[in-house]
Amino acid sequence: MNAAYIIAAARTPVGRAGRGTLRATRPDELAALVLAAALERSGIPPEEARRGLEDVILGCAMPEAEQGLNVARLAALRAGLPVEAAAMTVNRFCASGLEALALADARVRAGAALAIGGGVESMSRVPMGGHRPSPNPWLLEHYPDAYLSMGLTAERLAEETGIGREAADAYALESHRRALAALAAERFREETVAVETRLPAQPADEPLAHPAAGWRAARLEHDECPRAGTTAEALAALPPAFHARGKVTAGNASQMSDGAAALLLASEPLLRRHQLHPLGRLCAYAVAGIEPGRMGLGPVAAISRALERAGRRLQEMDLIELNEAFAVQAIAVIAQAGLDPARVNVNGGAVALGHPLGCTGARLAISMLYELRRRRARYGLVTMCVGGGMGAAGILENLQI
Amino acid sequence: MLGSGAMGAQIAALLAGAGAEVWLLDLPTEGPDRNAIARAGWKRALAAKPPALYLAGDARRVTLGNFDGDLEALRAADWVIEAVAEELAIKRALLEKTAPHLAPHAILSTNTSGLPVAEIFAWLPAERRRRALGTHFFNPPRYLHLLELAPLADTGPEVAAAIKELAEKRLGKGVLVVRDTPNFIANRVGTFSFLRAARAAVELGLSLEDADALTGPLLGWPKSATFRTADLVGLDVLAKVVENARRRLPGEDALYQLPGFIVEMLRRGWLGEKSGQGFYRREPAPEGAGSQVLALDPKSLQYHPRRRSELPALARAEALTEPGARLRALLFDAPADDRARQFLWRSLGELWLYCAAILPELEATPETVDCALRWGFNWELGPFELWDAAGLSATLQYWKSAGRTLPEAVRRLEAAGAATWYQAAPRRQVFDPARDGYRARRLPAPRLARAELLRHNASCSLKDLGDGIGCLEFHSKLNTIGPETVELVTAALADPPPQLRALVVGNQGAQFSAGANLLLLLLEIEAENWDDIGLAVERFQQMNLALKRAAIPVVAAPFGLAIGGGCELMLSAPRVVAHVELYCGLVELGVGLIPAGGGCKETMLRAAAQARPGKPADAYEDALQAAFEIIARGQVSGSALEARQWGFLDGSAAIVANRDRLLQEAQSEALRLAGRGWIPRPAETAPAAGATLRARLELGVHLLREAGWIGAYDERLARTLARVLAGGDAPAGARLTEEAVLELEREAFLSLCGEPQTRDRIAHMLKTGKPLRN
Repeated sequence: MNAAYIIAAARTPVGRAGRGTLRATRPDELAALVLAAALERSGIPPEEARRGLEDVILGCAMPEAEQGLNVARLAALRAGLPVEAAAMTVNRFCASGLEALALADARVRAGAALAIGGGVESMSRVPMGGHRPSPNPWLLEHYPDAYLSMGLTAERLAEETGIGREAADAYALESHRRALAALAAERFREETVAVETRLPAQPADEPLAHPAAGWRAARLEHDECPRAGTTAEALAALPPAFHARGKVTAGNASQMSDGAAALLLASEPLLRRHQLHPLGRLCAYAVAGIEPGRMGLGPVAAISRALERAGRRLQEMDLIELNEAFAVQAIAVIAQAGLDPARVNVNGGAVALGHPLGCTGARLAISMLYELRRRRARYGLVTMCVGGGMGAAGILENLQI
Repeated sequence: MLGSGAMGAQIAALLAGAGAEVWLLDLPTEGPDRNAIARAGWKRALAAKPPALYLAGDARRVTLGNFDGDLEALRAADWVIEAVAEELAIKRALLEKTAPHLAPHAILSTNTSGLPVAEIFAWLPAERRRRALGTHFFNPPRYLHLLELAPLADTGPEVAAAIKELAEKRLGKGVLVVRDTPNFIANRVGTFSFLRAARAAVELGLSLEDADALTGPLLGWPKSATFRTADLVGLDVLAKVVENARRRLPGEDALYQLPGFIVEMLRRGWLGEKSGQGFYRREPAPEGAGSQVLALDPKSLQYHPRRRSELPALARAEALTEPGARLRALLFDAPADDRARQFLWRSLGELWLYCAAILPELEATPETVDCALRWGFNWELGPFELWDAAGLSATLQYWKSAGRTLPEAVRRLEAAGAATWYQAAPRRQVFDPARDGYRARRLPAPRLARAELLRHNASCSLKDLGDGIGCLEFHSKLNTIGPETVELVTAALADPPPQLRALVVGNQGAQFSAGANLLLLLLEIEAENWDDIGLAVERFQQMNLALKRAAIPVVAAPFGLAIGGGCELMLSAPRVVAHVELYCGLVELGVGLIPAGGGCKETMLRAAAQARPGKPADAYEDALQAAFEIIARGQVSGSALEARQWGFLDGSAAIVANRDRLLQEAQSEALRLAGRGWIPRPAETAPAAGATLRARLELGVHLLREAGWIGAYDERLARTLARVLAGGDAPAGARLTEEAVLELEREAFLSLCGEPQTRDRIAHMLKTGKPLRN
């Protein structure tokens, strides 16, 4: 097998779904932006890209409507990528972006010169569950947990583990503290690419006198989900978001978001030809299944598989990006997988930074690579739970140590 | 609208609902938002409960501003309403400032609960006085029917007439043109009534609970009776009205004295609901959940847990159903030293004499006074009507034997040889003391009372409204629908009397219809008469189907509550003329059932009709899902306009603002339809949405249950509803006949009747009037 190297990456800042700056921006536009940016950052000349770029693989968790059809292909065309590059969209819900990276990695190792793996999701434009959920009547009758909402799986986890509201809120507060500190230190500046876009000029319920006056220009430069004023009191005051008497609130769950991310992978010969210094490489990737109702614990099995596959021990992982679908879920995984809290989500997690479903896996991989480089650390573990009862884990190695 | 206090902002909301563009102005403030006061007042109106607006979207018709910055609004306005604080000087100062900016054609009014309108406008130039008058809206203005109009001596008759017509037709008010006397009519009488009751309670050592028990539903007065009403109004407002009467009615100042304990309450700031305590106070129950109501002891000014009144005479009177009989039992049959009896003579008896005494000053007939109290205070009967019901002659006898001098109006009545204030035959007339005789009644009164009876049974009648229009009138308790109603309506549709060209389904009761007769259903369920239940449901379905496809036009005229079967009847009617205050909904799930009188079928047909313009399957599924959620939640519309948004009223439905005009408008509509040549509605087919949509709806309720928002039986009921609305097991896109959907409804309904939880829900509703969540 050939080797595959991550030579460039780019991501949009994560926007807050529904009310944020990217709420009126099509997801295929976001994806096109990061595809073009990743290619540009790599320094690969256009003719080389035309010859060598074989596949563009994007993850998307709700691949319909504005992110429907084959959004990877449409975004590639929109970005002006060579038509010779094929494209595909993959779906493993919250692991889609990491899955796409693993597939692109495999594509290069199987002989392609260049491939892109990434992800995109606009939860503003396509709601979780899609516009028209169409459950299977048999499953609904006999296995309704197949359709259990994510928030309720977190409530089940809280019930099962005894993790309380206070612990969840404290975790959420810490996630915010770390994210705000990272933003203040501009730790995400290098990896992000600003989005120039537009927004409706006035609230939807105010009648519009002139259609031409309906838009105003907007720009998103930084992740906008972390709330600067977050306090323990404010978190404690929030009502349950899912279960009538539950512990999961909007404050201790991941935030619905919009965003896109892409990583460019190259083969060893191409690397040499252009004398590139890769960011890193994907050492191993693994997935695992679990009861749908306990999906939050999916990472536990996936992590050990990935470590075994990479021939590494958990202690060797300098940093861990554990997607915070829910604070209670993150706490449970940290405990059950034996993770060192000091190494987990050093720059905050999805509770503070947001979770654009299909994008998240790629976003975490990119942030991981940049943080490893900053710290001159070697190995990083990226892991997340997946709706329907799964976990995914990837191990990254920093090659700019 | 000048002034954004409770009255100003809520009148603005009412006008906006009627389609007016409203500027709501108040004092300017320093700072970035010059309109902060108006904004705050408007915000309070938007949060009011019950809602001040028919539809949230009506708020778009209201523009906020301030007295200084928005002079162009004054120049543009057709009607300028001042509704600032009840202080003569404040009102005058504002009006003097604004009047010069008005357009020449503008009408200027001051809204007051009884200040002298002539004094408020005394400074106005004569030509402007022609276009000025006083109004008195009642609080909350959307819901209380009365509007008193007090023109100035030189107000142009065309001006008063224009406002009267606008208020009646567009705002739906019952308008009384009154003389500019202190507190006009309703507050004059209402305040007197309050003071007398308060004084009598103190004199006789009755508790507030006793006094309220004697002055509430027992007399056909609202449940809030005397003291709870005062708490809602606010003691400060009440004190102002009393003070106004005391100052401006020189001969009567002795009558308008607040009892000492109320003066003390005012001093302590116990103003009623707005200050958290008044005659009553609500506080958390000592143990566990909920709250308890405390009542004030007027002697000690201490609160104690509210007690049920245990006056012996009260219990005896409550056993009687008719207010007149109750009154007679208390006034005449109770022992002379009975405190309830003495209380009523000292409160209600004195009220009667006072009302008779002030008739000349008000230049009013008993009819006007009665309307004022019925419309403004929600009394079922006004004071003179109650007086007749109690037995006028017997009361006069009582006073004469006590040596009491009777008012001039009463003496004239006796001199004219009359024994009642009203007479029904040969014509509907009222005694007018100014003319020493009866004269025709002028104000709207129940039309149906006068219509010729064609057919009837205990629950339902067919009456002739004239012009070939018949009226199917329900008159059961809450106008529920049982076998008698179904039988009569079915027969009337199958074989209408030959003189009828069209039918109206309407009544002038308290509610249009609260749906199926649940008591009968419960008895059948307990007897396990499944076949009989099935048959009854089928007959009701067939009745609604016959109504829908009738050979002559049928116009339903719903108002107030139209829920469950009452709503299904409305949905089935080929044409609807609705009162704007329409609270309709398919609320069957609350009693463990699903709509089975064609409600599901009509929901599907309406969703299909709404969907037609768009991409068929998606649009239909979306419309059906929206309707499913409304029914599954048991939602009831907040107005006819909301019912129209929900699709419960279709595009052909007319909405009438004034309830007194509803039947007449329905009759006109029926006449128009009959005159135009009526084409009966054809049989329709409803698309089956199929298993996938059904699963989508079921998943939604399943997750609500998983999340602890609804119970297991709620889920079962909603899934049963989803099954029917999706067309059972029919393939998606199949067209179901109306009869096929009715069969699905019936099957589902019967299957639920056999469930103990459904039985418990029905029993609980009958017992408490509230849904049981089991």
